Amino acid sequence: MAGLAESGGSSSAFAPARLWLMLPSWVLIGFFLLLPVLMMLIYSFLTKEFRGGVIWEFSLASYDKFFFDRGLFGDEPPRIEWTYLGIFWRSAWQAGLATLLCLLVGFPTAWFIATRPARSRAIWLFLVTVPYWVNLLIRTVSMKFMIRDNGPVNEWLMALGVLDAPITMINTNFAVQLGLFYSYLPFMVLPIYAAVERYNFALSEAAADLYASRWQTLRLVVLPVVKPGIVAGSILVFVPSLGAFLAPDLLGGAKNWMIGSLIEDQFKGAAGNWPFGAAVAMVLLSIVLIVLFLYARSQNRVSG
Amino acid sequence: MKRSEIAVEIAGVDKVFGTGPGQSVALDNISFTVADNEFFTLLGPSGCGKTTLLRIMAGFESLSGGDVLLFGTRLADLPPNKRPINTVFQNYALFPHLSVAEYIGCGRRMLGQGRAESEARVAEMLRLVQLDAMAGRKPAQLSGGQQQRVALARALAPAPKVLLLDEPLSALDLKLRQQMRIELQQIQEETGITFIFVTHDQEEAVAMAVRSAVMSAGRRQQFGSAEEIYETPRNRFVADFIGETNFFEAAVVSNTGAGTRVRIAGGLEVDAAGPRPDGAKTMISIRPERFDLGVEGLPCTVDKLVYLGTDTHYHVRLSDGTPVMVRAQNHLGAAHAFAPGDSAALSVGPGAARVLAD
Ligand SMILES: Nc1ncnc2c1ncn2[C@@H]1O[C@H](COP(=O)(O)OP(=O)(O)OP(=O)(O)O)[C@@H](O)[C@H]1O
Ligand SMILES: [Mg+2]
Repeated sequence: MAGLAESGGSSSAFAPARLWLMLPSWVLIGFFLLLPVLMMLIYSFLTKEFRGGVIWEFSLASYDKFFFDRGLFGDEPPRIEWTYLGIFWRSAWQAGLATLLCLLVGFPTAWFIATRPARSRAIWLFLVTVPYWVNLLIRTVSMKFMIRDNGPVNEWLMALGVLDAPITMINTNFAVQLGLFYSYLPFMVLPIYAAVERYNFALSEAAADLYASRWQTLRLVVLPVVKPGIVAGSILVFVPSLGAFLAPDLLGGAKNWMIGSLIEDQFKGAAGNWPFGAAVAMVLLSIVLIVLFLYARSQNRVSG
Repeated sequence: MKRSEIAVEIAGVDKVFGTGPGQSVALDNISFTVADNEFFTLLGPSGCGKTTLLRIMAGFESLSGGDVLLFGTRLADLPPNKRPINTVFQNYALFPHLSVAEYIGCGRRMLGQGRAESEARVAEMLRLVQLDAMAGRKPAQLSGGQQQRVALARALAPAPKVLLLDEPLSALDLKLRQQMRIELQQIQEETGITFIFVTHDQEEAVAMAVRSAVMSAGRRQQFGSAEEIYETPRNRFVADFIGETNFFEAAVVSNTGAGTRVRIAGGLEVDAAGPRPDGAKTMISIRPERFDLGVEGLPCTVDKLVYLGTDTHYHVRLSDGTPVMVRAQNHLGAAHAFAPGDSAALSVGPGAARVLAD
């Protein structure tokens, strides 16, 4: 039954023409996404070469290293290896928190922009994207500069008398969180803006007509109707946050590693371990795909 | 017998949209009262401010002037969700994520009613609007007419004191519309809810209402029973908008105590009721069915006739070229008295002509 509502005129007469239109995208995705992912998948099952690179020999060693701890010499009975699962857990937690923060700040922002007169909306949207004209690396480095122990933020807070001595912000979870939040906020604002802009405010009036308070209107009408925008924004923030490496690297230091830093490290220099890096990437990819799949299925169940 | 109480009082309501040079006056000093348990219609052409007035009553639009009273209480300070008023919105405003049954139950649930009780009410409403089979569907899976009926059911379900209906039957086909008109009147009688029914269809307004207000360009033109409005239109707009009519420039012959005698095109002299004209000239209206087409009276030629089942419309032309519309009842077995091209004569009975104020 769900199809009846959504299928917006998919007349089969035009289908072949549409497939041709897709061709450039398919070529791009094939060459630059599917092929590299396939290569990673293969690499993750190969043997490590000591100066970086791989030996073409099948091996499960990388996955074994990820999940099991067999002692220093590899001869003890396997126990669960918590190091990498711990990094995954922390990453998921950090990414989840960043998503929540982006949602809490992004939703009111998007709402504000979408309810401006049509003329000024473009200006507000432009302002949201302005920081993103600067490269992510530069933005992250400048944040590092701002929040370091004797950086401007600490100095101002002391000048204002809020602080007596500088507080440590750099190399903490807080710094990583700040970096993630700042990096991905527009990915939350833009989809929610698109959803709110299409929102029919007559529905809010209809809710008030049915005796709903403002809070009930928000909870029972507005949020369900703009939910696709919220979900899209959350995915767009959560997924890259999960794999982010600039923010944890530059702002979090060695103690606050996330998956992205772990993977990046495996491909750097002679100390790297390509098959292991590939295996970690595959585990990450699997988790993301499973989450998206479960979400899609729950959506089908709701609307079907 | 209960004294008929005033449910809604619209007292000198003004509404101005915008400010400065771009402002537009949507409502200009509108006043009328609606009695409790009344079926009231608000009639006027598109853009005359009907929806705006309903939105003010429901609380979605602020007042620029005047007052709206509900059973004697000022409504201005009450937010929309605190007003015991429900609206059938012109554009339905269904919630895309709720099924028909959930949506209809919404109002009762918001008012804190339990699930079982509200479900019984939902079932009752679904039967009323003949949508039992659609209870589980989402709005996107309904036709326009079905959506309109859902909008009606969801506004009726909480049993408000006053129900505002903004052209609630406009999307239905003729048969369903006629059926729903009767249903609505029955519902209104049974529930005793005060209905304020907005329409731009004069036939619908006349058929349904006890009393109506006719609006045009943000102004109240006339207020009264359907019969009053039809038989004694105050001005040219009302006479033209409600039913069909013929307008004539008339010269005042005498203006004595008994009434006004006027002469219209072709030299026909008639007695006209209504307000006394000030000058020597005035405008009168004569309804098509008030003319008699025969052999005695003002000579004319039949241009065209339109057979309409119960009666026939004759388009005739007076000797000076003035077109006149005449409506004659058809009688069983009798052929049309005249054919196009025939010569005939027009006469009018007493009380047929009406002087219009402006
Ligand atoms: N929000 C608004 N801002 C400015 N002008 C408005 C606004 N809403 C309505 N108007 C104007 O007020 C006038 C009355 O509009 P309204 O919607 O009340 O008409 P209506 O009688 O309901 O017409 P219809 O029969 O077409 O529904 C129109 O001229 C309209 O353009
Ligand atoms: Mg309207």
